[in-house]
Amino acid sequence: MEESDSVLLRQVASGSEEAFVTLYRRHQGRVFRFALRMSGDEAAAEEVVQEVFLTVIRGPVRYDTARGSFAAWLLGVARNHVLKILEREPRSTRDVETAGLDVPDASADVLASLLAREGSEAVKRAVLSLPCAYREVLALCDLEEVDYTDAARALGCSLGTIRSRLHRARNLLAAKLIAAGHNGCTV
Amino acid sequence: MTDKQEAPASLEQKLVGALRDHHALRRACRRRRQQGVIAALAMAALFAAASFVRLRPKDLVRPAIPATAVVAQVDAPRTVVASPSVAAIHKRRHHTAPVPARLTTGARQEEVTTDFLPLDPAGSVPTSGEVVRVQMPRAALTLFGLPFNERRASVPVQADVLLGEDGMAHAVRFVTTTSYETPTGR
Repeated sequence: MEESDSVLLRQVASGSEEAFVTLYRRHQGRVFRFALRMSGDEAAAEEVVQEVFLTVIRGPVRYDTARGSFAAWLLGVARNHVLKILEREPRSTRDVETAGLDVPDASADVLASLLAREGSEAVKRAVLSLPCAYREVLALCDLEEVDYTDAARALGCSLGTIRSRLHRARNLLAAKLIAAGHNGCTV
Repeated sequence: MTDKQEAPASLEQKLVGALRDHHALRRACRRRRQQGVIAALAMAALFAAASFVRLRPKDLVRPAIPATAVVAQVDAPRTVVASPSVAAIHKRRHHTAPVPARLTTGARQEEVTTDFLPLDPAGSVPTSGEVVRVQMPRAALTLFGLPFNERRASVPVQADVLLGEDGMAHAVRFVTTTSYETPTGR
């Protein structure tokens, strides 16, 4: 039977390497991908994973089981580290001006087909060019399929904010891809 | 941007190493903290003992105990009846100074002591050292299995603490004063 995150955390706190490895393998991929999508930089994503799990090691972990899943807590910590990195190393390609774009009302289906092509460089670039607040909600909810409640906890905002940001993020992404001549609607 | 989905495997090893170091450091800190606590407890015990016996400088008596003096019989029953040799030594050292003649009432006082009772029941009483006269709460008598008069609980009891050459208190004997009438000198 798979040990719960809380049990593993307690074991990690008492120095169990086995528990730490289990916990790390269970969550590092999601943290890494989130950080990579946010930063567009593999080294930065690796740094974020390292910092997140060092936080777990150093403890005591301020994770409260009553306030959401451990994964959401980890993503929240990851997000804080990503924001620090983005502040430290601003990239000209990030957060490009989006005001001039004609934003279509992209349905979830359209976005789904666009994101299914996430492997393409154009989509990745478009995601990276979204403003941070939209990029993080898109990375969590659409790309990592984190549920809205956990995303709200990870990002420290309300469920309504998550929904509205996600809607706006999808529209912005669709506009960017259309502008770039990459029409995902043809799928 | 690459298609990498996971952090490199080397990071896992690095973090496991960090966990190991962190807990080694914590164990070391805990050990140091325990040693600190033990030292603090020892100091607290020392202060508590000092305040318990309420050292009185004027009562300090620091003659070395003669090698021949039998200061305690560890196996001897704890009794308020003094061993004659100890009582004799004690009388020589603490004989009450005669009261000036004009104030005499004809009463003289004499000290009677118990044997030296070891503070550590498993320990022995050193044959040499220093004796320090102190006052203790009367309730301390019960710690040594001696009878304790509750009506006199507020009256402290005198005791001699035997300090070994290591400076530690090893034994204690209780002192009581008896009065007897003597004819006045004039």
